[in-house]
Amino acid sequence: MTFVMRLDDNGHYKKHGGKGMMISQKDSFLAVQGASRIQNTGGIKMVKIENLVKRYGSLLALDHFNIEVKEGEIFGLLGPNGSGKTTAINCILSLLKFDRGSIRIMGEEMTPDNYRVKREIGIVMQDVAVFEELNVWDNIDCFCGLYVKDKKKRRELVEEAIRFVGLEDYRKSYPKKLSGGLLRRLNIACGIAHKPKLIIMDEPTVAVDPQSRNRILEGICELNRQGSTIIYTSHYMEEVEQICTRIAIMDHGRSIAVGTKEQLKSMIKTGETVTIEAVVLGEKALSDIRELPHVFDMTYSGQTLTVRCTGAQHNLVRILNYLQNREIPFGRVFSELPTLNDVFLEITGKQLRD
Amino acid sequence: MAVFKAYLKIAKKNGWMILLYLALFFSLTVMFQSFAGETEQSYSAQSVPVGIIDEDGGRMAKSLVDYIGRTNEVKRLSEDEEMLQEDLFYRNVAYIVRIPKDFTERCIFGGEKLRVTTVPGTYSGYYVEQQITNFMNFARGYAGAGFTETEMADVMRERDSAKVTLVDVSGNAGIPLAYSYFYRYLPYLFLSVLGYVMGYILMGVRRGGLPGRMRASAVPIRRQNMEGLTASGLIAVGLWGVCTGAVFFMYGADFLSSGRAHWYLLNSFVMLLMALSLAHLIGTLVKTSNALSGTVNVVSLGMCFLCGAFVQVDYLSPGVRKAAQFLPVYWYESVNEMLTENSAIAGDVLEQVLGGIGIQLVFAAAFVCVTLVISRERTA
Repeated sequence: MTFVMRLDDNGHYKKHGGKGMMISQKDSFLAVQGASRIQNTGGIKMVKIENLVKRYGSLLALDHFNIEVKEGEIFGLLGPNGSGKTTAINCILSLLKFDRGSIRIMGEEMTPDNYRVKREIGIVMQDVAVFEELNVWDNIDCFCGLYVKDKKKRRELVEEAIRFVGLEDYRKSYPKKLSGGLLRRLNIACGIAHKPKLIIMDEPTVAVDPQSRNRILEGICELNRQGSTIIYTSHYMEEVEQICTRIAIMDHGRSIAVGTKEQLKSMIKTGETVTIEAVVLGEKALSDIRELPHVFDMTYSGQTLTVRCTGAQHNLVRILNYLQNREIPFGRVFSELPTLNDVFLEITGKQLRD
Repeated sequence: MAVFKAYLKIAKKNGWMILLYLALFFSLTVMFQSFAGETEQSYSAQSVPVGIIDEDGGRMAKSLVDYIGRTNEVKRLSEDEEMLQEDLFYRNVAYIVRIPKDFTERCIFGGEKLRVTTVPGTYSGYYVEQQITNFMNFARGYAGAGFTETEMADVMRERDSAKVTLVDVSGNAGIPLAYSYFYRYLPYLFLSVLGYVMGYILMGVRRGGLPGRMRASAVPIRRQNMEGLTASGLIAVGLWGVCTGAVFFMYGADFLSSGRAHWYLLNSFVMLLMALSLAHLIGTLVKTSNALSGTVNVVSLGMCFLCGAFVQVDYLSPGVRKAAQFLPVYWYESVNEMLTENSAIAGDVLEQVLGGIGIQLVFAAAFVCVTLVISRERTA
């Protein structure tokens, strides 16, 4: 089933069937429950985007996009490539004009000339945005200089940023001499050196080795602990799941679901997926397993059985008991909790990385 | 002043290139100037050893011998066929003239040709023959006018001593001013150095996500542009300052006492502004250093060759000159040439000088406008 979720006029989520299907009462309840939880998380609104519409000619890049980011959050924007994440970020930063809607940051309307608000924002662009002709120290100093005039203070901030991203040994190195991971760290240092209240990071870990990625993710959490609110976009669900306190899932320019990862996972039916390899089952056994409690979907292909259950406990035990009682031999067994990919899959009918 | 500093730091990174161009420019200027000086100072009429067999000995014959002897080495020879052939063979003489008896009657009034012997196919032979033809034509002209032999000889002598006084409009006796070479080649330096430096800076500022990061920062775009322009201006004025300092150092007193120094400075400064605006346009358009290198070379060398920097404006064909009028360097070179040729900048000359400077400014303004339009289109 393909459907999307939208905020209706009352601020509640509504599911729209892709082929005109009506949503079930249970689905509707989960969606609204998720939405109401968001409203109860408290905190001062750092960013509020309402009904944002952005078109590129006939292409609708943002379709009534809505999010609210509260102070102190690491807010994740998760979506496949082309879902509108970067467009949304560019609109927030006033780098792009939008057709409809409003963006408020720290209570003020965001416009290209609102430099008071811009002063409090740090950005880490998707493309590395540093001067190739300047060394690490000069690059950070240059970008920090766009926010902090005091030379002494700036020197301290630059040193702090260098230590923060672990580039102490590369102060005099030029970007061309840095590896991809170090370059990304420099990119981050340039965006955060002035200690902004709001940091917007647009896929900062693209093409980064695992070691550097971990370091970057740890750094983001540390920035958040130091008081910065962070908007983090990525199409890597593991990253978003790992660091974000709340997540908005985007598709086709819309925010189709918003909540904590637990809230998002609770919006879908799948609570557990059990996979059993090298098992030979007849029609009777398959039918019996389908009838086990909490099983709502099952596939059997190439001697591999995949059973999807709702969130109740003991699903694995029940399935294994059934097989053992009938002395049906089986190979390896896996039990997986739902991921954000499952959430995306169930809501949109496609994989996050499609 | 973060943007200002960034511009200067990127320019500093290209410092070696600026120094290289400056060194190249000064070396070439000094070299060309010394070559040009040598050629002009060493000019003198060619002297050919001419043998004379004077069988007449009259006043007109003596007048002819004196005429030839003014620019050639005259050797009196006797009519000995063997000796004459030997002299020609060993190049003791390159040309032998026989002045026959009754020279005036036979050759001037009668129109008889002089008997001459020369080494076939030598330029010196033609050269002497041309001189003799000149003499004979003048003498026949006077004879036709009814002059006697004595009168003709007197007139021919007076002709020889006649002096031409040239009006020294340039104030330097027609000899090109040493610093005029320097100013003639200057557009190449300005176009190359500013083209490369501004190109690298603007490419650097436009790279990847940098424009976005700059636009999203707390410094207004207008302020950033102002800082960028100030830095560009400083770099350009610095370059102009170095060149002007070099002129003072190399030609100091001559330059300052010429009375045209301020015009040279003004013209070169306007040229600098034009080069800076063109460099901004190039920097806005190109995306890679290879493209930058190609464009700067084509623009700087092309303009300098077509507009009279490397080849003097006077030597350009009318077609090229007409086409070159659509290029700013042509107007710079025209003004430069006027400044070299005229010691007093007034009246028509002043008008033309101001016109040339004005046209350069118009070019500069046009380049700025095109750059602004392109930049606006890109950010829209």
